[in-house]
Amino acid sequence: MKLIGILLLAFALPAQETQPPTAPQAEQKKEEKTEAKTESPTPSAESPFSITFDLGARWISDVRGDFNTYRSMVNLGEGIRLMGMESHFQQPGAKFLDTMHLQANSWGGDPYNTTRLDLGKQGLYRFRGLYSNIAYFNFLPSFANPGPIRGAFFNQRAYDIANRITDMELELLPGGRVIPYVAYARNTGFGDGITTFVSESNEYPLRNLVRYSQDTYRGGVRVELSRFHATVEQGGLAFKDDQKVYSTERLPGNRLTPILGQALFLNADALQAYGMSGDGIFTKVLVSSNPFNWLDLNGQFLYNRSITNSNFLQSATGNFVQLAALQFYSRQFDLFSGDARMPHSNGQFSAEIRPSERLRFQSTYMTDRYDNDTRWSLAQQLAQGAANLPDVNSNGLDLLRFTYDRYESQALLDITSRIMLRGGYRAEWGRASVRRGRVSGETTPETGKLRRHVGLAGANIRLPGNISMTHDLEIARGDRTYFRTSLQNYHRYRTQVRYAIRPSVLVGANYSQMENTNPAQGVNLEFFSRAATANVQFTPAKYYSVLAEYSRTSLRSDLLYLLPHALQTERSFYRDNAHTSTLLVDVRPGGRAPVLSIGGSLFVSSGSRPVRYYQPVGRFVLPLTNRVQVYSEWRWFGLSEPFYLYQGFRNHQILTGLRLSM
Amino acid sequence: MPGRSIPLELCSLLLLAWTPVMAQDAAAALPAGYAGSEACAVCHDEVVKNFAKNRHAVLDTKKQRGWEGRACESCHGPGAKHAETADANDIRNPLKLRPLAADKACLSCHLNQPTNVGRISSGHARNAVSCVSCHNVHKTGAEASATIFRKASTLNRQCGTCHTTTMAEFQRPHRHPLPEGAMKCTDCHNPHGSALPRSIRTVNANEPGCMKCHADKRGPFVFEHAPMRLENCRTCHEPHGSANPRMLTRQEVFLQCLECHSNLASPSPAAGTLGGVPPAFHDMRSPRIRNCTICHIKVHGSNVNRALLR
Repeated sequence: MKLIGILLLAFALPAQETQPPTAPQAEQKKEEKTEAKTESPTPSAESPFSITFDLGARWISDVRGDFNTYRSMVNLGEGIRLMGMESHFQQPGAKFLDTMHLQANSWGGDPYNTTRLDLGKQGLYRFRGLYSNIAYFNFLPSFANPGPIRGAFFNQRAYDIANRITDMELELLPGGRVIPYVAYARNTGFGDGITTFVSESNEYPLRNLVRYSQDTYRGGVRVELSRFHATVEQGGLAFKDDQKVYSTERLPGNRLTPILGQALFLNADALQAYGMSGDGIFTKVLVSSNPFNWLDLNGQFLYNRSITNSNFLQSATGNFVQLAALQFYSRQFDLFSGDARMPHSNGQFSAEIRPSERLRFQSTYMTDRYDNDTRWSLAQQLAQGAANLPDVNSNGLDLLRFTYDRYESQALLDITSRIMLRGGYRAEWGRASVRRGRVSGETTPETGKLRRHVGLAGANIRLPGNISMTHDLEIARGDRTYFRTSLQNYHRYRTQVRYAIRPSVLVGANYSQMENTNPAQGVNLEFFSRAATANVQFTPAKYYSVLAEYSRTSLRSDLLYLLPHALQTERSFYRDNAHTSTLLVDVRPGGRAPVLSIGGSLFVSSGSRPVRYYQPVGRFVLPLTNRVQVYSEWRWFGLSEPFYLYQGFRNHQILTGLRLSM
Repeated sequence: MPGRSIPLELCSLLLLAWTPVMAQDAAAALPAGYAGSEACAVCHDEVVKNFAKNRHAVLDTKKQRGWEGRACESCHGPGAKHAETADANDIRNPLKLRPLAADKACLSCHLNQPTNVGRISSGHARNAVSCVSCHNVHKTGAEASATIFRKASTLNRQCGTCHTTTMAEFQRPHRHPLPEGAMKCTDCHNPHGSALPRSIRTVNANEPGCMKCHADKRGPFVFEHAPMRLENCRTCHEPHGSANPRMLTRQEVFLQCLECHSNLASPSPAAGTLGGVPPAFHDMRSPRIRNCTICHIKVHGSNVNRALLR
């Protein structure tokens, strides 16, 4: 205590003695302030620690319609939940811990749980941690057909998986010149689902156990000087994916017609066991420099080398067929092994030159390249009854090579303090080699090229009266592209306007449009999309506020494909015209009166897949004391799809809870 | 340990004698035109009090940063004249500056930091969205940037004030769980810029941020599906939201696939696109064949089968 007293004295005295270099007017104001402070009855001290709990209980009505679709999209259940918890500690000058923030959301059974923890002591360390647990349930018939007829199976691709992510980073000496850091992340997924066991001419839905994990370690150091910065990071990761697919009963499969008078089936002993493991190293080097006031230089080099080793075993009995040889067999055993190695490097260099206060030139060159050379071998044994058929042993190489380069240059000119114009040019080019399709007959790789020239323009205008506008335009001409649906000849335009009519009324509007065409014979792609959004934020008084937003989007895609069985050209014509609207009205009478909120969102679309999705919400909050609030919320979820009636659902939810602040 | 307390007390007394000298030196060392943070506190005591809880407060104490004792003026410029006149026109207010000038104040310190290495290629820098559009410096508690950015719901709301169309996409039935607060915009995007288009965040040095959660899709695969590498997830998915299940860009899977695997060989070299030649002669009249991913289950890439069947 004696020591603490002396130390306090040592620091308190100089604080009293040191005179700030203030002017006379400022001193006078200081005196006035001091007087005002002494009159104030409110103590100025505030607690460095605060905590808020939000405990709720949810009740849901029976889900009308398809429960699996409800679970795939909403997945909220009944019961008591910790809807939110937030704890904050801040005490500048504390010895080992001056800031702590702990946050937890949706614990107790909801599909998305997160916890974040930030700890730190200024100048000494900073720790950031995240844990999230996300339930991924998907039982949607993604292959749904508007006319469900025999042969459409709705449950062959389904998952019920928990995805857990842990992410931690510890930074030492934040704010200093040299900042070392280390980080660890773990990502796991486990659960089960339904997947397909594919055999020639038939396929069987089987249970799929999913279990994968990835551990990532990285560490590095940042050097922060006044005109130079560098970050060097080295990391490594380990990956594991052990899936298992198995049958528990004899299955006829999806094919319901016999082949040459024989029905195909799979017995209860089918097994597919995957054993994937992988590792990788990655390096990140970032450098930025400001050697002169008129010049910024940035560069980065990113390198990643990943390896995957795979082992696979498949064993099954039943009645199967090889159509090419018209050979039936009753037992199959496959053993596969392979490995993939993919070095991937990426480099970028950019510079900004400012010859005057109003003019800037920016240039960026980026290159990205990787090679994935793989090897594999397969040993396959087939047997018909007790007789073994000739073994099939094969091995091979596979590849994917890719280079991509981009150069971009722009000039930005501040015409006045309120108008900035920019214009520039971007060139993109690249080359990719991939294996060919199996039936192409050629063994050489298939090569694609990319070549695109893009003109860039934009404007940023701030008019008097709190109006701001941003315009952005890209016009591209290309003569090579990787895929039929890729960007080739396109223009993209976007504008954004914001107008603060009064401090209490803010309106905004966004408009964007994109058109992409590929006129090459055999492609004939025409793509067009448009989105317009308007929003209003109206806060005329502290007693109520209105937030409204409306968005109208349309999308049209048109290109050709060939139906292989009929050798007939068809159009793939997709349309989506959607209206989205959200509204939130808050009424706050003040004092202990309840706060009322109503609103929600709706999504209505027409076109290739008309959808109606409504989520209205009503809520009231009743403050009991300054620290305790009771709230109640009603929500409704309603989905209907005229072409896919079996996917609709409707559901009411009521949530009641208590919010405590300390 | 009475033996140890004596030297500590001596040290304290030495400190007591030396500190005023140090403080006077620091005051005398203020460059011309600068008033020092203590002068600012005379009128703006609330702001200064809040500022002490701010990470920028380190400037006031860290000599090596070059702003010791005048952290306020690191952003607001020299304040001696303003301290004399108390006129708002005599001090720089970054909120009222044109974006480029406001950024200059921030980037004089923050330019050389990793978040800004990709800044030039970011849409925010291109469209003059200045730092102070998103970050506030003086606010504390729930209004502080650090608090807003930490919490998913508040950060998403902040991004949504400009990106209204994107936020509307999240009202579609099939989407990432962003409105539920399970994800933040910054989980996928780096608003300060990135080596990837659309400011997509990178993980493991140069992989797209999608792989942070979807680790089982990252590969490398023994048998790759080229669009996964050559373009990006958006070739087939609308990550912000879609009317189609699994956030696909088409209403049915076979249309999604056949747009690239069109079976149409092109005689024009300009249309020499990848994957267009027929992968197989399927009878597309059968519903089970139209649903390509019933069999081609490893559509993101397979480690076992070239046709992505297992």
